Amino acid sequence: MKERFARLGLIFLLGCVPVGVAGYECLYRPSTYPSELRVIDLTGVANSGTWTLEPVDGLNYWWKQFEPATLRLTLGERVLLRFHSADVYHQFYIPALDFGPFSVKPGTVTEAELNASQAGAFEYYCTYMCGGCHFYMRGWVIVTPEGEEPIEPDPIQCPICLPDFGERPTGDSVALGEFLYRQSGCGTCHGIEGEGGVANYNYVNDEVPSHDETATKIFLRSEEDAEVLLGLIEEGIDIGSLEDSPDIGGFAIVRARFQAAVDLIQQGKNAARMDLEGPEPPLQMPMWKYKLSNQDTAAIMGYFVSLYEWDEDE
Amino acid sequence: MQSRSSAPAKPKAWNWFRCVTFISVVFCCSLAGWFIAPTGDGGGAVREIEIISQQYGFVPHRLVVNQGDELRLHFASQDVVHGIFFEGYDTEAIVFPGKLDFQVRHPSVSDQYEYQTEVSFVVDQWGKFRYRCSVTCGALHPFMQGELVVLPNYPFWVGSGGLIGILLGALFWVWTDRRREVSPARPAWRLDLLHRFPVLNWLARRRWIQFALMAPGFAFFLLFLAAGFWGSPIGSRNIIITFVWILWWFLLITLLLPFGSRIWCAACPFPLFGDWYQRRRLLGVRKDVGRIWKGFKHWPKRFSNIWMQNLLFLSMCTFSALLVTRPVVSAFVLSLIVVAATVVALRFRYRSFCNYVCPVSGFLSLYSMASVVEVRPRDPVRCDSCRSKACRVGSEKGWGCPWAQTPGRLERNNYCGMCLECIKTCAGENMTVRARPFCSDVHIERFDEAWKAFIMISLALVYSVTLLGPWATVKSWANISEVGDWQGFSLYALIVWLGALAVIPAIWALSAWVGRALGREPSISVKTLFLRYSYLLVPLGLCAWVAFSFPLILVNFTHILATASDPMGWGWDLLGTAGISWSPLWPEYMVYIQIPILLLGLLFALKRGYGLAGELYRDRWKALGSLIPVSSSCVVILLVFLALFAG
Repeated sequence: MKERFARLGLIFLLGCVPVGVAGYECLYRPSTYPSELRVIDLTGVANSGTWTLEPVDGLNYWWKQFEPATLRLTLGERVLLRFHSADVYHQFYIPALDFGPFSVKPGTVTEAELNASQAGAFEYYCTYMCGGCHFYMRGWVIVTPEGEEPIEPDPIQCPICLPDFGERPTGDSVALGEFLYRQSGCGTCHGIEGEGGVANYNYVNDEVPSHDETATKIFLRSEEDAEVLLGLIEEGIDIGSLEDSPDIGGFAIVRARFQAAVDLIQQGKNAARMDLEGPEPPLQMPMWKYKLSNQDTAAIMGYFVSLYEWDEDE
Repeated sequence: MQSRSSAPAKPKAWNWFRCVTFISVVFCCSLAGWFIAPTGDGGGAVREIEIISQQYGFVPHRLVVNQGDELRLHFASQDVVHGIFFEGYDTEAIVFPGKLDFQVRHPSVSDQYEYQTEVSFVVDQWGKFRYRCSVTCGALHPFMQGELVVLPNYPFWVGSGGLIGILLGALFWVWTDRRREVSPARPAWRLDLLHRFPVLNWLARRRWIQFALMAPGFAFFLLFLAAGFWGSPIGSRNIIITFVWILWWFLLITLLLPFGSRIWCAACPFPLFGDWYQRRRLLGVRKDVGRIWKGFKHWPKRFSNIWMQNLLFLSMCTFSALLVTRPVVSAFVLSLIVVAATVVALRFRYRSFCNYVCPVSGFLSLYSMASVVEVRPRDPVRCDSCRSKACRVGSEKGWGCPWAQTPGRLERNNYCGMCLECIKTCAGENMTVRARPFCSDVHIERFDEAWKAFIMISLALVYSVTLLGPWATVKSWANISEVGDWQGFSLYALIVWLGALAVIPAIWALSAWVGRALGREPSISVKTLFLRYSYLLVPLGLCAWVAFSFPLILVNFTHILATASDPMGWGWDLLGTAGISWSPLWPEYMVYIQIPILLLGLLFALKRGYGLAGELYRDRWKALGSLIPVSSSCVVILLVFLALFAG
């Protein structure tokens, strides 16, 4: 009799755990929200550089490349977004809807209600740097009026973070610059090969600056001058403090412009707003001085200079 | 050799004098430590310091400043959002990569953060403080820390003085030992707990008591597994990590083991299904209790030692940086242990898994020797004449000893799992649980047990470096799955294995060899001294582990409260404590807990060492000579711990 009681008790006790956990999460907790509110769970994953709709748990976190979320809403719908972080601090920001930025502390859930009051495709971003894949951490919220076909947004230039960029090249400073440009994720904002074209909401210039015309922006006059400059970078000479004028036309101004660009990369820059009352632009130039040395920055500048296609006739 | 059988005239007064002098010696040496502590240049300097965070360390990882200096600090992060919390100086910052300004708050003044580009304070307290990452920044976040040493570092120097003082005091103790012949210690006091506390007696005789401990334990274990596999991958927000590696570990090493021997083994849920299969009963006893082992095999003789436990534990601990930070790794390893425990029980007699395989059991066995309780016969002579041997084979009141021991002949705690079956089975009510002095079992009998002691002390050192140290490089070696630095990891693993299996044992062998020469007693072999004196590492190791474990709980206790309320890390709040923010408890006073524990470890190591030497050598000076090398090794090891904790 006692034995049977113990057996039943054991089975009951052990059964309580899965039933309790699943019941609380799947039945009880959803019932605490108003029924007309759609609840969407979004998890920030630094390793994949995504806000994802997929469940992230101990079993899949360590190996899986998570899919970036595309949120599809109907016009007029109210949704509750629950932000989780699977690792480090993230931020969620939809500048075009003036939604956020919401800081998402690892291990706690941040909730925010979103009213889909405007039709269109709106880009969302993570706005805290969260590791090597941070700059890839963006996606779309698509709001469609009831009954209409959903809009397909423009593809994001670098949608997937592949953090393996191979060995750091030695010797060739242009190759090193290109490597650092890709590794640091610069291409996600400035274009895969520096061509720009990435929109930055409410930024005075609309788009993030391109870098394939840096050579003229620092007033290099000819391909030969550019070659000399690249040679100097290759030799590891600090151009900003170079006293003797090398064989570069108008070197004083080239030097000043070059140094200004290096400083901008090292110190970072806040993107100025087009509409001063509007939301903060999501893409800001970070301060790179703790990640890139002066030499590294010069190598990146060399890469930019090498991107310019000189016109034969000039 | 002359011998005097009569005791000294006034033994009591004499012993008081010795005690007072001993304490004075320790006190004077500590005081000397206070006076020789380097004081720096008087302070008042302004120091501009930039601290850069990266997973999982700070650059610089150690700041040495003078009391009275003003620190002007700037912070930056290289990878993800980090925090920095200054123990003892009420300052916490959140640092954003790519940004010049950071958020600062003073937790005791305000919860709100303000953006700043500099934070400054005057270091007005001496000692060692740590700056810790205060924002979850990845797997090894809880161990990311740097050291702020404010000179004069009195705790370290006073503690070192205390260690030397105990060594000198011990010499004085031997010198004033009036017994010309050192005799084996007289039987120390014992307190029959079952006789003294009838409630305990009643409880110990209940058949349901072990089931009542194991069954809820297994339910918790299932919850831990669910959390490990399907809960948050963040360790500090997952109940399997906080409850197993912080709460359980701390309770085990500081309370259950020293004050309850292997009482954990009685409550451990892992053998639940194995026991059930073997006995076909959860509570009651079968009528054919004497014949339940028919069809079960004996554990092979070759493996009837704790070598397998030693090697499994060492292997497990090589990956400890993964084990204690990744919920899924913990869940996987714990499941593996349950499956192995059950499978072994299907085939082999007794608790073979617990006795010979379980990685936890090994160190419980070793340190249970130090425990203040024991299961023993009240009168061993009665056991000798006992015919039924019910404690071995079982009776209608209980099972035969599941640990394959003969309880009536128990002399050490090592292989007694405290299941209390023998208390139920003994018809003459001759078995009992007794309280006794700390470190009462003093004989390490086999090499596997000695090596367990070496492994444990090495691992305490390794963990104090990797988990409590400021060195990011070592952490990245140990953190192999994230960093992937196989070269570094191999080096780390090599150091761990060589240190535990070769270096520390070699130091002990050398000490035993020199000790034999100093003891001038050719009949006593190096092997004997080696085995006997490996016991010194039992009180020493246990105290080192306790000192190591205090920071774990005091720094991380808020995680325990948070995960109790949100076990899976899914955003639940069952108890209302899920949102509690991280705030360590007395982190600036940690060394004042750790140093006395280390001193206590040395005190017991030397005291028991002298007793052990006394059993081997008739002459106290010979005993002392044989003990000097190994005692010095103990002091050196403790000085290393002291330097890591407080230096």
